[in-house]
Amino acid sequence: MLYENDGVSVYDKSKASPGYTIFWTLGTPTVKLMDMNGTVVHEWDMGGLPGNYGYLLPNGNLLAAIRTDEQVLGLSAKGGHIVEMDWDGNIVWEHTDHFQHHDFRRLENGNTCYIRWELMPEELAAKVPGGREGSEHEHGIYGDGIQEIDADGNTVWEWHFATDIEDYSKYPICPIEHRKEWAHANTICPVEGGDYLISFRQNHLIARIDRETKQFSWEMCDWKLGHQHDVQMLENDNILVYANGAHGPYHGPNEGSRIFEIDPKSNETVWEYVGAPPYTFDSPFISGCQPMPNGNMLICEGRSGRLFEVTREGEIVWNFNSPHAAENPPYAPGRSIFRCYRYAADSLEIAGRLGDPG
Amino acid sequence: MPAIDPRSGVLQHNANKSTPGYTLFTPLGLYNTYLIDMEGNVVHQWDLPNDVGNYAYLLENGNLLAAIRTEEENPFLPAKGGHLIEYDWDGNIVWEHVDHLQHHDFRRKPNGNTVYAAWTKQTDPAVWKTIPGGMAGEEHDGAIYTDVIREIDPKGNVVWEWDVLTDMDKDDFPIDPSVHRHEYAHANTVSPCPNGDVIVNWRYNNTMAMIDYETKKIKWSLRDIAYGQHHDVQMLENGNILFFANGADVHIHGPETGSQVVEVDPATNEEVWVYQGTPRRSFVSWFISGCQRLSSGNTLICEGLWGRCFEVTPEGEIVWEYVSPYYVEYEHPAYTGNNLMFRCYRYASDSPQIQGRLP
Repeated sequence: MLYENDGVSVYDKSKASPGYTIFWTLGTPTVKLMDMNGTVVHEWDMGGLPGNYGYLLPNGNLLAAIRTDEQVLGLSAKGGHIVEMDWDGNIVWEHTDHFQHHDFRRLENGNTCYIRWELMPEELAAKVPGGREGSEHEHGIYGDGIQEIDADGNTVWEWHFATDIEDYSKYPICPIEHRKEWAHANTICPVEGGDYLISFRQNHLIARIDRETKQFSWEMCDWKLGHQHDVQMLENDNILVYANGAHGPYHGPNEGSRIFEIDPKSNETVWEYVGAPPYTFDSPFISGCQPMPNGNMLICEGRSGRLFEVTREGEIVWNFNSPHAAENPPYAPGRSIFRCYRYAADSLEIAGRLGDPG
Repeated sequence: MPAIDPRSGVLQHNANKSTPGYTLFTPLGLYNTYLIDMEGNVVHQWDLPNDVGNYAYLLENGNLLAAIRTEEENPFLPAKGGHLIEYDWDGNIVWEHVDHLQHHDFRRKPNGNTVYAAWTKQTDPAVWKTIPGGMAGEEHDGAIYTDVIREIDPKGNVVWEWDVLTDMDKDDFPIDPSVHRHEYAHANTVSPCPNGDVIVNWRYNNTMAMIDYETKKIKWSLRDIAYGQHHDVQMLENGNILFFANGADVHIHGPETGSQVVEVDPATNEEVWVYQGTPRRSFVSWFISGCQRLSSGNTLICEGLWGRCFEVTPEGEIVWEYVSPYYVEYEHPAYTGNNLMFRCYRYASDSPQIQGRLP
């Protein structure tokens, strides 16, 4: 059985990258910030459930998405209400789009980007390849769009998978997934030049969208990504991704999640983290990863609410199994966490408001 | 390693509710079969000449029937055995049979014959075309290994054979679309019924079937991807079918996925009993694993991925739990660093299998 030793069970102070870790347990109304010992040092009462996470901005505020009760399509990771809160929980900015889901980011210029569902026109939905026959949504098939808005909520740039990409045949839905959504985007990551990295779960597809042409200037579509999450670009221009390891063709003791660092010039894996043995690190959905300043990797093994930090050599130097259980369906009694982020005590995000993280 | 259970041996035991007896298991990749008491003490063991392929069990004559992995043919074939051996209590070989492409399961029948699963290597692309489903182009080194169910008499003569290529309407049972085409279709269970019919379970097409011994026709089958590539399908005394539903490749993704042990009524295919973990993520083995209904009505479960066997009441209460301390510490083709267990079995001290040799 999966062993869950609640709280911080490993902390090697000589190797870990200290800081405060933010997470929002799915199915709970509270964003928590904790120190290295697992002690919650600050909380935000969100007045709603996560859709799907929150993170701290360089201005010290929290940016988060809350699930709204309108336009409930029965699709997972619905948000709808993006809010920016100050340290004391006052809303300083907000934007409502009931079709927003999964991910959203504040851009350096103050704009905000996010993913939204868009119902595909019937004639385009009919062209979507793959998935289980007859498993469409009652409305048809939902595609994904990216919306970039300014501080006043005006749309300044947009992208639509259904109409900006012509060749659907390259991106079939995984054969055992449903056809309610073509793609199930779960990550939108702004990169240089106004481009975006995006992850489409349903298709084992990660891609870079060119801002001008709106075409994929780089892509990788491979079952080895295993319904991946949290694609991002590293400072060395490599691509980092949490490869969940779901729905691959092989099942055995080598199955599990992996963190891949990929060289986009060759699509070769230049670094990976895998559990020892592999099946001890496994989350078939959600999850993420964040490089630490000292070269370590903070990993969110989302299903079981396990957050841990590994060195480049794969040594676990900090490990936390969240004891905070969901209170609401569909996540109760789980402890699932979509993503977590760590901020050093002297970071812009913490802004000197907290002392030694332990 | 925080994610691995650092505990081993007997983790819990409620002697008022458990079913006393001795538990037999053979760690995958290792060279020993162990018989332990309810406290986890090894009370007897057999030394095997190579690592197991895939398990061993005790016969009603008190001997051990085991399959050993031979080095001939492709050693990377999953759950390959090749050498069936019957040992007496003291480890003397009293019967053996070599078929290098034997794999997974083998059973001694009441008439003294032995039935087992074996591969046939298909290299002819014309044969591949008759095999439906799976990921296109994912054949194994230019071959698809297809299953034969073979029955031999004590002298090793083949007296009955059932071949997926000739005895099965394969189009009704395609390989799952997300699975490779190395095998059609990875039989992991061969279980004779009291009337002589044979239950076979295939993992890669999510199919369990009852084969009529006389006509060789499939007289009952169950195929539901939601069970997730099941194992250890068997008929109970009440005529129901018990199996380990691994929960691999289920369609939903969320926190509430995991393995199950399921009892179905074959007349309706309705579930009459289900065991799930609480929470479900606490009981997951996407491959291997098994289950055994005990005399008390409890069920012994082998959660193979984690080397864990445990006993649950009909209400799902865990009344005995054991984690194998035996890890593979040498370079094995598949199992280095693991404490995997294919199946386990419990035998009462007054059973024919134990023969009064233990208290």
